[in-house]
Amino acid sequence: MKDKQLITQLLDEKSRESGFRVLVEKYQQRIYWHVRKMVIDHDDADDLVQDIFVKIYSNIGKFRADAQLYTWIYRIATNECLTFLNKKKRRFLFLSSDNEELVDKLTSSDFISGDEVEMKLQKAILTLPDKQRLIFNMKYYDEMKYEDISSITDTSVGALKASYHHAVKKIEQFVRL
Amino acid sequence: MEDKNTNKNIYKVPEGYFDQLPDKIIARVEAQKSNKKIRPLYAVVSAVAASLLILAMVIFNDTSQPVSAEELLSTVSTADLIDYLAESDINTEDIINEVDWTENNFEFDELDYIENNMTEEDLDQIMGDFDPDLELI
Repeated sequence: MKDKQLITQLLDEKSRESGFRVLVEKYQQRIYWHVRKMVIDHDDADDLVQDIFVKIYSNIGKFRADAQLYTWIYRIATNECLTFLNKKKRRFLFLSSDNEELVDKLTSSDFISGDEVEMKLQKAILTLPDKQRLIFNMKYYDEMKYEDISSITDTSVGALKASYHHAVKKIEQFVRL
Repeated sequence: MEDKNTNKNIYKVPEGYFDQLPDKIIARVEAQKSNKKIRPLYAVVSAVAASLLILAMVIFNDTSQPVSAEELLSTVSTADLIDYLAESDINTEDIINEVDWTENNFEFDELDYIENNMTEEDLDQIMGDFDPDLELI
């Protein structure tokens, strides 16, 4: 089903529930992988993805029919990810710095398997600040257009290009060490 | 099951995960709809009252004159409570998690009174915290 048709279904209260199921089935994987790359752990990603879709359902009435559904969903998911990571950092401030906890999860969590080079790349990505990591993931893994990332993050295309360029440089430096 | 960029992705999910996820999400939505009918604001106001009580106990630490939730709340206006919720970073789940409910037997008559006097405008202001169109960067 195309997004335009889905939006019509979602904005009509009579067809909202069936439309919502279609939305979940259509977007669950993209949102899951978007979240998973940010929080690393499968259980955290699972909880967060459920929270995100519940939030989408609660706010569907606020969605403007002329906006893009895909960027709206990503925007909610992205905000939820950052909120989750900030809360975790506040809670464990005295235990670890930067993304130390996420690096630990990378080596200890289930459902992660990569060779030495792939793990080093992931550790390098985890050295980036969370917002820059989000931008990097959306560009590198999800192959999104800068214009779409711009709508999701409310950041200019120029700033995104600069951020992505710096991220790539930092990762290259880390991998060379 | 893997991401579309198989060669780049080291993360995996349990077998059948994406087959079950929609049902889990729909169940959460249904549960939330039922909870909404059971006065969501009651929980928020109750949690704020509990936090204020704990704060007062820490600050004044006068065991000879215990402060009840009702006494404490009587000194705080509804408008202040709403402002506090709108301004703070706190959410219901956080507050409830921090409170040991087994040791605090609050009476909520006063809170019921406050809740019944909430206007639609007040509710909108509080629910503003949950706006998904937040500024990100």
